[in-house]
Amino acid sequence: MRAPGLADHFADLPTQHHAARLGMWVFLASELLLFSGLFAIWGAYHARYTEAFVRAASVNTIVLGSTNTFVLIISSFVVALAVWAMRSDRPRLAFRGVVITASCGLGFLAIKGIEYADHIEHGLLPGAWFRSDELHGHGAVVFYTLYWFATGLHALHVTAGVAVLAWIAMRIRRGEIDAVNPIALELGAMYWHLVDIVWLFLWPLLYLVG
Amino acid sequence: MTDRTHVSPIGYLATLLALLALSVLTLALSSLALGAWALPVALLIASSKAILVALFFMHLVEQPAVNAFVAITAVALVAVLVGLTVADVVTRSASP
Repeated sequence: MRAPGLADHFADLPTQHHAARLGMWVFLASELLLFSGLFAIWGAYHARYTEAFVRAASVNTIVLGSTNTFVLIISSFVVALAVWAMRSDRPRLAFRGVVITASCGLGFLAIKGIEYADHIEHGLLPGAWFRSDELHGHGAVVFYTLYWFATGLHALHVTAGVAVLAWIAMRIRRGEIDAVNPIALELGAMYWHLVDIVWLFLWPLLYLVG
Repeated sequence: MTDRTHVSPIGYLATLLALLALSVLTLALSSLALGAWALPVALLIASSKAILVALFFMHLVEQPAVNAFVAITAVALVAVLVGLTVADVVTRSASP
């Protein structure tokens, strides 16, 4: 009899899981290349407007942005623990870990929302909408245009990650993900870690060093 | 696969503590005036954190080398793209 969840074209579950993990790494590599365009533009404009970028970053919401760094790092740790819990056949613990991770994601988005409201109030907006009293010049406009695109794209990924985690939590509840076949949880966790890694770079570039 | 090859909760905890420590270090260094060194140092610390996440939280350390090969290829391509884009801007002559 074939194991539940084993596709026809795989000999056994370990082989199928290996293929799934490799496929996930290729997908995450393509996600990295999506973000790398923004990193390249940031690098080029930073070289062109170094001092303006440092000034622009110094008025950013550093406390909130740094708080979000710690929120994401802790959530990555919790979802890694959830994978461990599922592998060692503790589905209820894994379920709780996934729910906590998704909640951290919502917390991140809430803090990001507070930051965005603050930026709108201070006119730190992209392109033609930029109207700051503190910052002047083309460099500051470019910095906050990149800020909105980079953090906006990242926030979309956080939102997608929360949706994936919620779906995984539901499937754990229904017993569709278990110790024998935990791959869906593993792949969802990998996506969440990528979201964390991208932020680990956005944080110093957009808040700290400019 | 035996449990022996899996990252343990202790391993995750050690990774978490390293990530938190490196983040605090990044914050501390950003309050110093490092000038031209600020960006390379911050990127070096961020890269170290990313490697820790990939190796232990994402289990690269217990997976076949081909998975790491995909990740390394992606990072190398990002380095080429960012490196050449920045090199273009910094090496342009002032007058056209």
